[in-house]
Amino acid sequence: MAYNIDEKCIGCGLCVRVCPVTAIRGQLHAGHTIDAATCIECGACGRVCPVSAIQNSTGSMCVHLNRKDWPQPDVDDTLCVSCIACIQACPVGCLGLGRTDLRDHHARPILKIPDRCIGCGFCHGACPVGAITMKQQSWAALPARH
Amino acid sequence: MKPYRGRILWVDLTTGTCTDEEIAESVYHAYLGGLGLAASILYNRIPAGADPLGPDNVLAFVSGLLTGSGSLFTGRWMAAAKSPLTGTWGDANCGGTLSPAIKQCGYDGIFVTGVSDHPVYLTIDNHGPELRDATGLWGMDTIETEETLKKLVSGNREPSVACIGPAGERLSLIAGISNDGGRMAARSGLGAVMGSKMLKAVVLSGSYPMGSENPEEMRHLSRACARHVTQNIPLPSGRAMPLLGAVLRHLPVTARMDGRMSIPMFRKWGTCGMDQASVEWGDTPVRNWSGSEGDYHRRLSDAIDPDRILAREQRKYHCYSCPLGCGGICTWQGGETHKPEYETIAAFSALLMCTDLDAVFAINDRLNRAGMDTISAGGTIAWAMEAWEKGVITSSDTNGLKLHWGDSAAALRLVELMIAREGIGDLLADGSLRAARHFGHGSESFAIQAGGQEIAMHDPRLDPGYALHASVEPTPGRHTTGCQVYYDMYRLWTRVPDLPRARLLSGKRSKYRADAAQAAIAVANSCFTQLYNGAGLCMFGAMLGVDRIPVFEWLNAATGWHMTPAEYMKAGRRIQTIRQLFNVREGIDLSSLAINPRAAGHPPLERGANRRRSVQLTALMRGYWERIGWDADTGVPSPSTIAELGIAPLTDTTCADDTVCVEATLEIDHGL
Repeated sequence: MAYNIDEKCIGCGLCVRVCPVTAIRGQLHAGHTIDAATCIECGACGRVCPVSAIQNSTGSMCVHLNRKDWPQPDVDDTLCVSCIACIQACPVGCLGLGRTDLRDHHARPILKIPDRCIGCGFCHGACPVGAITMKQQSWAALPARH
Repeated sequence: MKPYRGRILWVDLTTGTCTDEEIAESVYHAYLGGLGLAASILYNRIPAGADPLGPDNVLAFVSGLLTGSGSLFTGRWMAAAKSPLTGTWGDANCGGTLSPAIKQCGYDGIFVTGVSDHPVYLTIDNHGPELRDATGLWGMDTIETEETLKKLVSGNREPSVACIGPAGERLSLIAGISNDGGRMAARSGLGAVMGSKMLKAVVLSGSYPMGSENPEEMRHLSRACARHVTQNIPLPSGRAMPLLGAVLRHLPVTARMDGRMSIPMFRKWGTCGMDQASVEWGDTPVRNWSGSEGDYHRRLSDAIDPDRILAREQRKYHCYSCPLGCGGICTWQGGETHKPEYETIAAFSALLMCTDLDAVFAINDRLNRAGMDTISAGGTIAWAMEAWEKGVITSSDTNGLKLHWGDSAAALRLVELMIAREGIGDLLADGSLRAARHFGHGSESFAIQAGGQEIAMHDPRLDPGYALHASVEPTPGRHTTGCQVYYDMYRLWTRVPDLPRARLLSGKRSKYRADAAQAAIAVANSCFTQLYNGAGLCMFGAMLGVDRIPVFEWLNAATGWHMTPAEYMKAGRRIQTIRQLFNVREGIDLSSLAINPRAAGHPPLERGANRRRSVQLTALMRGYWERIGWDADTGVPSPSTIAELGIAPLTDTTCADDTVCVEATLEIDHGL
């Protein structure tokens, strides 16, 4: 299963730029295609497409969403066990270890490069203890880039 | 989604080709994944009598069945091949981040065959595998290699790298494979196998998602498990640890061990927390297994006070999916290095009578960078020091280097020589047994090894289980596969029917019996070890006990299967048996893999915690073999056991057409 681009595609190339695994090919102003074997179903292409030309793996049309409204991970430090599963799962490498928790000397993950996050939720899915929730937040509220 | 991919990658370095192979679901039912998957494939694909350092040997990198499923403690990856050190089945186990990375590339395992005519590295991402020239990397140490490759293989995310250092390149038979800045799959000499294939590194940067069939149930189980680990239990200072060891030594009885006591210690100090206590208890060997805690007394062992090591720690290090974080990153010579582990510290302190913590850090860093096993390196240097004391090795052999007990500088120099394979280091780089055979004069009697592999720093005279497992394991000389204390901690009787409950208190003499009860717990240990190696579980997690770490429940929730703990234990027995069949096929005399008699208390020590303690090794081995369903005299799995476990006969791996071979193997019925 993978995402699919239909004939509404205007060939703007936004999806090519956002795809974390370079699964999308196509000439500018011409129809683009997604390589099903490479696609990881992160949904970034669907969120960025200005004409909603992309279907997800179940055949539903993806809805365009302004980047400032994309959900981002929020780590609950009281649940987090510092197991780095989220960091390993992230396809764009936007998570990293933050400061060491003074209570137990183990570092917790933080969103190190917020503007690289594509809101895929892989970190949320990978967290063994459910310490990560995906929350919409405005750019203004984000911490400065580390 | 399933927690396994159902696909492995074959890399033929002779032809430079990469091909995928589908794995039937029945294989996962029968062998789980991880080491089980590797065993089921290598048993069929490595031809009998293959040169371990030749093109016919197959080197496997495998990911555990539970890795990435939402479980905890399941980030272990395993390397497997025919061992050049022991000539037997060889495997090594490591944490870090490689295990999820294999699955994120879309595979459950990477199997490398053939030999390249020039150095290469393998890179895999979502676009598939590619072999690239590694001539420029050849000669670099493991950390330089990893840092260089992370820059070379650019992408959105940082890749996971497994690589060899100069030790593996120079085919040192005690070389390992490094991952994540010096975490080592150290044992069985598999670094030399990688070096013989001219494969410098494996670089994995795939990002396929991982998951399980029942994510909510996995999360529920994992949360309950995490609570057992993350409680902050106040512990005394490191100075109390030798007192704890002394109390354990003086107690007239043995108390049942519980992982809830060791987990907080691992969380605070890591494995180094146990070094000083273990010396006092009688668990750590002293002076090449000939001394005792009286020789390496508390004033000497003060050098390895765990608080001294903790003072150098910058931050905790967690392997993938681990809530414990027993590792640590320490400052060292202006940079960073992994905190030395229990084994390394014991091997380069009490075993050699050394008391220089800086030297331990230096040696640990050198060996990690060279990609060499610290257990075997320490054991080999201990042999060299005793050989020097007995006049077997003289100044003319060492080019003037004096090898007195307690000389840390000499140990560091020997390590350098072994890595460079210069002078006497060229001989020592292949382990103590080969060096002893070269020098003769009876020095084989104090090469403390099993089947050619140096045994780890846990004294079988304190826990006879170590002697038994190091001798009957298809990979001889290992300490992680079982002992009596592990059985206490695994608490298997809470889930698996018909297993004896460990007694809360027992007389110290009872440990040394070679009866049916000891055979039963040893076999249970072996089956459970192979089960968790199939799952990719860390041994320290398993020490919580199966009623607190829900390994059986995780396996069912992740896969959607409905297998009972007894059926999973049977899968563990199947993995153990097929590994043994690998050795049988090699024509190995299985009783010859027994550990050196000194370590089993023959003759017994006259002083110290383990005085007058001897292990009835032959009787224990016979009992184990009989209980697991192998011939009690020879250790060869009986036909009825093979039939009961559904292990198919060998396929003809000598056929010329590879395609036919693959199909024939897949037709095997791996039914339960």
